[in-house]
Amino acid sequence: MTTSTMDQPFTDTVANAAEAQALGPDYVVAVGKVVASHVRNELAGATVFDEPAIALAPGPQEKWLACRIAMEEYGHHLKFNRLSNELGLPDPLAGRALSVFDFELRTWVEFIVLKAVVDLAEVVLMEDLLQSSYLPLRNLAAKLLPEEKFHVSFGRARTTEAMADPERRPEVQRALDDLVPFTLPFFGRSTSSNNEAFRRWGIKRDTNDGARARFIERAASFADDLDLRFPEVAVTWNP
Amino acid sequence: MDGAGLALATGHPPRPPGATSPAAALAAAPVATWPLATVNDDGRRADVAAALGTGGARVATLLGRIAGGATAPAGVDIAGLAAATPVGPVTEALALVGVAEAVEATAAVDRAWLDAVERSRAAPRRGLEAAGRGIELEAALHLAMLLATGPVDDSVAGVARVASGARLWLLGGAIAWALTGDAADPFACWADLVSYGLWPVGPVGGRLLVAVDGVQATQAGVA
Repeated sequence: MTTSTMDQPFTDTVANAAEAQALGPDYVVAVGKVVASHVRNELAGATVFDEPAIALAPGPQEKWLACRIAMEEYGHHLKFNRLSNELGLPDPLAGRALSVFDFELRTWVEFIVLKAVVDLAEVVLMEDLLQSSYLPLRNLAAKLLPEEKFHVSFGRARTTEAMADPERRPEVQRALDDLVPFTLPFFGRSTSSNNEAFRRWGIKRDTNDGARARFIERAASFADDLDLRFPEVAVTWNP
Repeated sequence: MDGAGLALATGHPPRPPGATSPAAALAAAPVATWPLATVNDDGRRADVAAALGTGGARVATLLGRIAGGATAPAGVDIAGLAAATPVGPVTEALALVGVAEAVEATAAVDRAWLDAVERSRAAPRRGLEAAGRGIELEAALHLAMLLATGPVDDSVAGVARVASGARLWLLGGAIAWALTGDAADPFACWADLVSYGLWPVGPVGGRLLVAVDGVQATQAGVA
């Protein structure tokens, strides 16, 4: 099968870059956009959030865990970059990282809430890739997910600790209020020709709104567990 | 390229277009094996030491140990190396401990002392960048992280990650200082310990802690 439509989406698997190239430029462009986005965003996360957090950490263990997390995210960037190289994509870093990375990290509390919330968004996206038609991408997502899930659990555990201190609760709430709206565009526009192509080729299964809805449900549940107020947000996003 | 002369990205002989400098080529390496080298369009090779310039030989020594999983050779004065901390000498007695005990003890690390280490760790970066050596610094740190960031077994809640993060944190400072070529490198002694697979924690509760695991823990009789 070498073609696909929304009525008859592509259901085969693609074992490697050579098979992707053999399918034609539409497939390579589509899978390349997903790969390139991860190349950029994993690097942006390590650089904009994780590396600065090392200096913000209140104690040695937090500092060293932040360092380890920064290196893991950097490692993810390198691994996605290898997929990019194999596909012969143009420099993925020439594109712009997602707007969530415009968030200006100022405090340790913001960092731990960010790990619980923004990294959860990354988990949701990677879980979708576990069904991807492009097997190198599927396999890489399976390999990296445990580390991404650790980052979320780290953020949740530290946020829970922070919430045990009544004086810090307002700061946690502010961080959540600030970060959730920043995270929603992570999933893309509600109406997206890119997402249609990803689903047509079986590279992703979720619509952008479907992924956003799953993120909102899980993030709101986390907030609820900690008696935090989850911001009023919409599943749709069409700026 | 790797020791067999094949490109790290493709496993084939290197082809143009290449990077703008040997250091830029190292900074763009997708994976790292050891030894590795760069080759220019004329076929001239530069090993890591040469590609990094000043301080490159010391960096290559440290990276070579890490890549090879080196342990402290017999006769190395671990107590002496540990006492020469990045922020000056300390007099506490050396205590070799297991990683789990070290992680537990770190809650009591003197924060002011740790902050001073943090400042020392960051200090050489600005100088290297101001001297136009940003790409050499990026290459050295990139290789260090590729070689030193392996998967961790975190079956004991977070212990392995904390220990790995601590060693990576020290390694970042050690590599940057080594690259300066400064004879008064404050990280030099701890750089040796880290490159031998040890984790110098620092003075905690009247003891100078160095964490050991694996074979070295067995040899030292540490649980």
